[in-house]
Amino acid sequence: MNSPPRHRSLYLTLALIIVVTVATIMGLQAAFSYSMTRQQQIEELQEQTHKTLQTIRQNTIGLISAYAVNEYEQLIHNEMELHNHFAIVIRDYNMGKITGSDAYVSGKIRDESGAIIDFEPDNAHHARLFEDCFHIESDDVLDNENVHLGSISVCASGRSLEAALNDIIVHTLINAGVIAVLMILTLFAFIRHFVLRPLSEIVNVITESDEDGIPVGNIPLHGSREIFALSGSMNNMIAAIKRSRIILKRQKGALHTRRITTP
Amino acid sequence: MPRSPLFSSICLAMLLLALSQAVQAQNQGARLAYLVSDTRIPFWTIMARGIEHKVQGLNYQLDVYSAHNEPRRELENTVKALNSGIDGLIVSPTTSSACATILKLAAQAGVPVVIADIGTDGGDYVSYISSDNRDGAYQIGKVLAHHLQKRGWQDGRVGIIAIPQKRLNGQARTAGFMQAMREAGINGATIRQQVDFSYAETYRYSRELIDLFADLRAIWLQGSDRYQAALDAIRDSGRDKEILLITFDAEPVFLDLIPQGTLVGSAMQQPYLMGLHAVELLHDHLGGKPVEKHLQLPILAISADNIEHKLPMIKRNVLGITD
Repeated sequence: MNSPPRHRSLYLTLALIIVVTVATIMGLQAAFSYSMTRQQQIEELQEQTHKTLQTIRQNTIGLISAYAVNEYEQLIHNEMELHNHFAIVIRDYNMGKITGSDAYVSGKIRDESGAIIDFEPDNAHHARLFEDCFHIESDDVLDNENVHLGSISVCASGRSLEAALNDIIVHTLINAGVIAVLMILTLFAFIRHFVLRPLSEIVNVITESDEDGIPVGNIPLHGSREIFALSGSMNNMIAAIKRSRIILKRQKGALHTRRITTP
Repeated sequence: MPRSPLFSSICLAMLLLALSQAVQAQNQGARLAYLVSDTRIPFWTIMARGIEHKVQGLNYQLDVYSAHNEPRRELENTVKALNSGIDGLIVSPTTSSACATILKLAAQAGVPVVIADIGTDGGDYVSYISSDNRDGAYQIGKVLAHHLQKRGWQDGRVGIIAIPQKRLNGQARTAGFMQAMREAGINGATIRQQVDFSYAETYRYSRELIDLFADLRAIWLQGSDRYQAALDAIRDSGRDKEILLITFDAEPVFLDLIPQGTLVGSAMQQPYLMGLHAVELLHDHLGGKPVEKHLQLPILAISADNIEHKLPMIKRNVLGITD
């Protein structure tokens, strides 16, 4: 004998629909928000890199002309502290002439701990870190007569961007999680109150039946319009069944009496 | 058999001679360089003389490079000296900021550096020799206070013509001098900072102080080379019997002006001694001995009361006169 097929509870079905819907919507929203914020962060970083480059370029014209190496290195240090750049490097052609090279290269770079240290042009590790910059912007330094005094490169760190984006991911996930849970609970509570509970009451009323399987009570009339209409229709249907059953019983009794009295 | 004292003395002398020759032989061929801001300024010439004297005694070779107060020339000198294969460097930089760059270049070349005066804004060095500016100014302030009190002028004011106060040595000098004035209950007038260090500037500042303060009783000049401008301003104001002049550092003529009473006194740095110490410190470092990171030499507060007694020291350590 085949066992009756197991039907999934409406509660479970609704719960699954709600969870999947909310999770999908919140996931999409989080991905969009992350993408927008990331783009915004990158634009801000590029803008700040450009501003720093222009500031240093303006201020180093006089310093390179005056062979004030320590002064412009101090300026670089201050800019890095202020704006969290990864590295700033200056190629000083005036000093290069003195040292017998194309350019005297100096600047500042951050070490593993984030501390600002001297950039060493002969240090392969420093050179590699500088080449691997997330965003780098360079400009020439020219004096009033357009003579090339040097060039400046400002390197924006991928580290700071990664840290910022990691923060965004964490915050977005936490926000999405909290909102999703609240939405799921709220939706479930309302659906349960307005849909599932009236349906359960209908089921309970229908389940209490007489020996002929006809519900004994009436379905309470409340709830939403659809539930109200359903309850009313079912009450009418049950009343109609009850009436037809009474008629049927009467007719059956009359037929039985006629058989007895007829020889 | 007991040895005679004469024999022991001869043995000791021979041992010392042998040791000295061994040290000299060890330094034979070793080269040092002295980077100086400007040998046209007597203070630096005297320090260079001290360095040269000590270097000869230790048998080093020495090259002296003067920047003539030009930053470009100072850096060119630095590179030239470092490329010449020197074993050690003594530097009296044009500014403490320029010194940081010199130290960086020297570190890249692996050359140890001793800084003789001015100081540095950063970088690594073996030792830094300076003068105790604050105490020197305090001591000369006490000398002035004593002279004012002796004349009954302690209610008058004292004006200052200062070196730039953004320099640490300028700040230290002013602070030490003002402490002495406070302790003596003498009021300050005002302070004027030198910019171009010209005769005209010092003369103008002196006249301004004299004209602004009727109760001015003394001018303290935080340098020595423009003393004549201050003296002329006091004389031209017609108050040369009422206003004293006291200075910092020294000129050879001060050996006459202080005993005559034209100058009350001067706080004298010892550049020749600084030069000697700079070489000693570098020599000790090259020999593997530990050296003091910051050596502060005293400043001599000289007045008519002690100039005769201190004269040999002034001639040698301050003016570099060794004959």
